[in-house]
Amino acid sequence: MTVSPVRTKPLLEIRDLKKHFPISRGLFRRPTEFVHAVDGISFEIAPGESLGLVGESGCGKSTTGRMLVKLMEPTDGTIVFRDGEYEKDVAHIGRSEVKEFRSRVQMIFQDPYESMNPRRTIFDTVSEPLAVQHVGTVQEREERVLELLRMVGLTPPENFLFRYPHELSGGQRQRVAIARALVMNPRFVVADEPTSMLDVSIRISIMELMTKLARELGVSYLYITHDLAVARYMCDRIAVMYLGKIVEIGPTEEVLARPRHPYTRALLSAVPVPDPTYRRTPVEIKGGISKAINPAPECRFIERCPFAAEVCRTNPHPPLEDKGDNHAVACYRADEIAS
Amino acid sequence: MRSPPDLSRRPTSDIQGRRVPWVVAFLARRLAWAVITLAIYLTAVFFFVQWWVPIDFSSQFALGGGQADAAARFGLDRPLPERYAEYMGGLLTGDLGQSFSGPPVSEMIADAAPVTILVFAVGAVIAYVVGELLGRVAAWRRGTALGSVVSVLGVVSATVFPPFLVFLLVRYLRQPMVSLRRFLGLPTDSLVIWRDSPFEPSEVLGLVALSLLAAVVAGLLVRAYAHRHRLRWLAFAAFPANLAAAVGALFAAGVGAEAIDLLYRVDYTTSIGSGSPVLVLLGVVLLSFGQVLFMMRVGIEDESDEYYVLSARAKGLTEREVRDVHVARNALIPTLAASFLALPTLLAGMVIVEFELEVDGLSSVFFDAVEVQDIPVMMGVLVVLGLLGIGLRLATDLTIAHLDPRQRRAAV
Amino acid sequence: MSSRPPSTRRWRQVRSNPKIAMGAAILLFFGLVIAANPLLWATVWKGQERLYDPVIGYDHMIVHPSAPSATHWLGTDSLGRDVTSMFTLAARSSVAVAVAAALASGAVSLVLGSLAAYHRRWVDAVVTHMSDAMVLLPALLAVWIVGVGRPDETFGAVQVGAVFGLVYGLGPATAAVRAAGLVVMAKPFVEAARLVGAGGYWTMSRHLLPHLMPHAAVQAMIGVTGAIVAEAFLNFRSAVGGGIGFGYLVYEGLTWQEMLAGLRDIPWWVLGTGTLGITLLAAAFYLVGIGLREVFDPRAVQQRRVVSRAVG
Repeated sequence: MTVSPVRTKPLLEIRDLKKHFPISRGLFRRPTEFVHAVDGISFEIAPGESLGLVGESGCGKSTTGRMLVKLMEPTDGTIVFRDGEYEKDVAHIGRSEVKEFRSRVQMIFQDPYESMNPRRTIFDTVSEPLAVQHVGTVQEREERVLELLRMVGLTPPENFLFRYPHELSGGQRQRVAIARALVMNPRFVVADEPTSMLDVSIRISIMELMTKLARELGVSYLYITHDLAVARYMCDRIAVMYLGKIVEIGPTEEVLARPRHPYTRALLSAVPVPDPTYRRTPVEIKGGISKAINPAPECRFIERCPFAAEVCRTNPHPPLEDKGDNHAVACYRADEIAS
Repeated sequence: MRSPPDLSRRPTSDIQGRRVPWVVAFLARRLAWAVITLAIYLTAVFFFVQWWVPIDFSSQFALGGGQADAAARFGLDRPLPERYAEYMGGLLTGDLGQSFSGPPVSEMIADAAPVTILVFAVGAVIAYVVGELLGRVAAWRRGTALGSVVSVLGVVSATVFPPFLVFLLVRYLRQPMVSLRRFLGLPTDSLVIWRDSPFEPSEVLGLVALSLLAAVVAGLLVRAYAHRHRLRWLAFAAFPANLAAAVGALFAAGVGAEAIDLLYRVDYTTSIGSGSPVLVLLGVVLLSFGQVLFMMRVGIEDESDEYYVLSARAKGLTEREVRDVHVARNALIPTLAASFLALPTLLAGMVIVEFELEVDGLSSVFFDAVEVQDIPVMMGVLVVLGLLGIGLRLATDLTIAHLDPRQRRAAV
Repeated sequence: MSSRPPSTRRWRQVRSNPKIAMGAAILLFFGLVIAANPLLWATVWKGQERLYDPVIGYDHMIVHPSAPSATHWLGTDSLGRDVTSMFTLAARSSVAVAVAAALASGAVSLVLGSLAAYHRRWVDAVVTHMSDAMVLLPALLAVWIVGVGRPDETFGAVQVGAVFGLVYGLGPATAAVRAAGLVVMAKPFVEAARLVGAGGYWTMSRHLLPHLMPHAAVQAMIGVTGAIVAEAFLNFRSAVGGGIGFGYLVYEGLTWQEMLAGLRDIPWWVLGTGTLGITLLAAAFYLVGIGLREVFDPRAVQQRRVVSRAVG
């Protein structure tokens, strides 16, 4: 299952991606203040690999996901997408090309209740991509939908075809959402916290389904979550985001076993461990997350960092530095902290 | 209606708000919006009236062969864009043009507008308070006899034919009003009252409107105080006591007889009940509270399902406290926003009542102008109504912003 | 007022809503009243135009106005005309006003509101400013300006309804539908459609319009209430044509005697039929309107869902 990051031909290559939202835009005034929701992040995703994007709410992880599927236009940066012959910087494609690109990527939304039109049947919902892209006849679409419903474990599929979303449970709805995402055979799927609104008891089955389908169909995921345990279950690699910046990225086990950034350590120390004799070393971080409105140039985490030192205050935000084993971290004091 | 806040753009810190009080920034933004909206309104109304008025005013001079002269005199022969530019230019300097019948429109309006605006503004506020209070009852007592009665009253208020309402008021208030005057030892004839009075009717009307408004506002404040200190009798007595105080103040000021006469004219020389502006106010309230009632009811029923209501109950608050302190305050915001959409309906009801009661207000100016196709006067009335609407809208928005801090920085 | 394909749950809510049921019952009553006119002419009143004609009918045998009797079920007015005949005719023109106003305001608000919600940016700016401005113009006054001085043949019930519906539709109805449209456009299922490459036509026809139809219907119903009153008032003041309508019946009832006369002197069968006609018809549309709003209001629906999720 684990695929080491392929240097030669990644499926997605994101370079210096930025999204700034203007605020306080008056009628005749140009905006002077921006929320730096995503502020220059770079990473790659290999074919078949799933990358977990972890962070608190408001850190820019959902914005990143939406930019990758062109639901939002990036302010700056490139997103190179490769799929066989197809190779394009999708950050800079026109309207006509977007439609073609969209047959190759998909998204699964967080809220299974709101992501389906309550007035359309399951068949309408799952076959919508086919209908919009004019793929096949109605007969063929129906067969394809039946196949997909069987694949996501909604059996017998005929029973679900003409039902409405409200007749289904949350877990069943999310299975429908997965079927819709996969109906066009995409290479890449952004999953935005797909299990966070489900009962804990059915989360595992949805996650199992997603990993199984990824393996069978060769799909890559960008898995957005705030839950490290979920990321650990689902992902080959993990990227930790804080206020629009990636602060640590590396193979899942490596990052979880040897976190090098103070923020990752704090996140990990907050994960409950099912062992009553376990004594954790608490990592205190101060305050709450704020918004990056015209942020100061120094390290984004400095306000809350227990290890902040002079070097952090006088230098700009630290770059991501590879510390070996494909494990990169953005912290001037990473080596001191790790030891 | 304002768009729901776009989460991705909602700022969390009030960077601008720190420099100036939010009211100033808010009003500045809303005033810019108001100017644009008014310009669109005036343009639409100007062309609407010019194009759709069915009869050319100058055609009545056709018989004497003077139609061309008349058209030139009234400016009806010039191209529409030119007339439009001239009219808008005039408006900027406060000039509403000349009536086809001679006098400047601004004079005709200045005589009629104060009564209409005062009565409508005060009537709208009172209708809002009444509708809101009854809406709470209808929502909270849903399914009970009281709730049903209130709901039926609301439907009747929203659908009754205004001239019929006027008929009922005029007819059935007459005997009690005459008896009241006799009881108070006042002259029953309006002419006698005004002959001996040092006041003008407009002055008395201003006093009456202000004292009624003061009574309603004071009533709301006392109610809030009473609820906080759990004084049920005080809450119950808040409105009656304040209204009584207002009436008492009018009598103390020596305008009691005049005030009663403005509520109901008993004039043996002209038609009965006519020219009673306070009665118009009563009519406006009766015609308008139903719409507010239903908006409030929907608002409260929506809010009642929210979790904070559950937690308020769990804290052990009484049902009344849950309703008045938690639910009603939040339900007020959508109700206020929605009530603005009901403005044209309320204005229409007011216009009919005022016209039927033969009060010398904007309605009679408007309807008389329409009878003779006097375009400048029609326009003048519509301009004033537009200004009145924009003013009420700004007041509504300001109230919403006061109640809901999130709206203070919302986009225009 | 169900839209295609009616989700069964919603349909059940619509059917079980007491306000909608009451409104529908009243509308059914008016349907019967309208149908009664030609039926009566074909049977009971057959060949008796002299007695029952709504304009020139006159019964020489009795003093007018006369109270309801076996010959004149709802009595006669001061000019000796049969009130049943006038009432059934008036119902037709009032319902024509209502239908015209509902269609005009529904069509205008649906088109403009959905375009504004879908396109945002300048389309939205234009539509929003326009509707903000038009809210300031009472449709009654607009109808009055257009209607006074036009003969009944060119400006009858349908035209009154159309002008009223147009002005109301451009103002409050469009503002309300647009606001509902913004809520729909913010739903993830619209994003999901965009994500698969759905264009404007697809998104509007499959996602936006089906959700906005009930909102436009609610606005149309509430607007119709105003249109009925406006037409009745025009009719009452004989400003338009002077044809027979509910407003005319009220006028007849009020002006026969001085307003001061005792209740027994007022031909209440004339006044009452006119007044009840207006109020009942307006109330029917108003009840259907607020009933639909209870069923379809997105906030209410959302809350119910939140609670049911918390419970189940």
